[in-house]
Amino acid sequence: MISELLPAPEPMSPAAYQAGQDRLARLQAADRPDGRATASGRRGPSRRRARAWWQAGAVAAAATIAAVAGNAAAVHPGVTRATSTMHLTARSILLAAAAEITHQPAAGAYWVTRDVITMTVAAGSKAHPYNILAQREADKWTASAPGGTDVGVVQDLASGPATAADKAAWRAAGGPRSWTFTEGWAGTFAVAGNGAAAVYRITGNGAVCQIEIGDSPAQLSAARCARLPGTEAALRALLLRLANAWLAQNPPGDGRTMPSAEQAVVTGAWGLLTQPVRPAVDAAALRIIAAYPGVRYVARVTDPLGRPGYALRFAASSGLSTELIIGAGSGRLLSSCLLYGTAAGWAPHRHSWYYIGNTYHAGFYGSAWYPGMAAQCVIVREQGWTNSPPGRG
Amino acid sequence: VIDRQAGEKLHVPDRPQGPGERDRLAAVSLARSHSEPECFSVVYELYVREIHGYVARRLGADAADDIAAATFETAFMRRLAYDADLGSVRSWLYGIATHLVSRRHRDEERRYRALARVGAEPAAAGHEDAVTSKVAAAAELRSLAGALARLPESDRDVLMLVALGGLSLTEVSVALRIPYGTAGSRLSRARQAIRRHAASARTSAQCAEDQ
Repeated sequence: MISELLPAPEPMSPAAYQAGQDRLARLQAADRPDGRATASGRRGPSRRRARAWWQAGAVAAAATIAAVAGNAAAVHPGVTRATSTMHLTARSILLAAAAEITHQPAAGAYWVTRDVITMTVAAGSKAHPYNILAQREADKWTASAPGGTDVGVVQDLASGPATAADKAAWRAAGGPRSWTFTEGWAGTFAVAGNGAAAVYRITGNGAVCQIEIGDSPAQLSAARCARLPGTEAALRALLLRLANAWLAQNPPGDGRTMPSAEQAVVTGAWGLLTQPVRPAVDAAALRIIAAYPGVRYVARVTDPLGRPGYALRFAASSGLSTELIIGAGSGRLLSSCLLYGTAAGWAPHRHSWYYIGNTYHAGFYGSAWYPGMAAQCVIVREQGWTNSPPGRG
Repeated sequence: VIDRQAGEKLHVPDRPQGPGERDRLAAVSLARSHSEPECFSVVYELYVREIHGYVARRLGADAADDIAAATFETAFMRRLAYDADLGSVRSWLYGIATHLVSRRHRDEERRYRALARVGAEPAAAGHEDAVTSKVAAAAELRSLAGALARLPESDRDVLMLVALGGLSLTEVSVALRIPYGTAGSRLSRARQAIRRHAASARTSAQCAEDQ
């Protein structure tokens, strides 16, 4: 009786929802391992573990680069950290990028992606296991309409042991100059690279895209991709529905820790940044990431192609974290990496599959796994809709 | 292994809405927020609108904006103290919100007294039956609001958690940290008071009509 009689209130306004979220986010930020204050005034063992996670990540990431690129201050392979006194937040960088990206063309005859993909791959023998950092240049022109001709150009770049420890194991294993993989990222990777670029042309399905939620990406037709919502609220609702469905079907257990729905949503939004979608969808995805309290600004950096940008990081699904580099000034996505983390319950998989952009890759075998290590990166040289015919200009 | 050519149709099952599913998700997120504070945002997302609705019915929308936010701030700061064995995340949040509402019990009583004077606005135009039933409901609301304003604060908390939040007596006792028996006696006392007040309001209305 009471619930029927008392005046039903207006639903909570978006402004009040946002204000409450902001108040909570301030406490969360203060409580985060890199925050100075702690809201609860209690420091349990769990928070100490979390602190170690970030610190370990930074140290380990630096170690990778020390071996690969000879630069101990980098964030992920080939990235140089710069010093900056500017006060920047992940949120402001992402919101600026969201505003900027809407100026990109919203359609075209082709969706073009010109990437350098780096991948940490297990190699060596049982006695001398080590990881190599394999690098591949991949350009792809996907015809917008189904039935059009997709053109791809793939070239393997110089590869080598990923870390100093890997280098030692590699020497002990006889120092091979090339590695051939037959699954996942199949091909031969060599210290000298592979001079021949492979060109392929296939009849395509149009600019299909996928939404990556957890380990079950949803495949969308080109028409469906074109209809993806271009507002933050609608895109978030779609991703949350997918995330909740996935979480309901994959309850935690058997030593498996599942991400929160919010984490899965943010990871899904992140995945869209490299998909053939309208700039409005990218902008909505960037806003979703910007609203996530877990995203943090790491440093001002120079990416492997020498472009200035801002590195941002947030915890992704399954103990991985994600690092984005957003171009300084341009607001464009310069690179996107998956880093291994040490979130509770996550153990290195013996054989994992991950998917970035339009390529999927074998995971690695984990003998030399360590937190903060880049599992894979996509360095974006060019991405967007174009009417220019395929060809390396 | 992913086949990017397969499965073009996007299959989106309905979002799980059951309270059990929501609370399971909330409990998992709350546990994770011990080491990953950002996970607490899921708890906010799941329950802030409901808590806001509960507070808005007791204190009005403006106060609800602040108290709903404060509820989640308090919950976040006390998240290490939450014990899943003692009750759901939802009832725990209701308990915190109720505690914050009780700090403003004078505002609440003022609101009920105002409602008792004017009631809710009936529809200006519409089907005659609908208007009649709304007028009747407004009369009942005035009576109810008068009774609520007179209830002892502690009894009102129990009544509102049951009536608006749908909490069981066990959940109420955990949320308010009172013995089960106390929760039960407060509830029955509150219900009796409401019934008594409603009966006397009906009697005086009838007497007024008879005159």
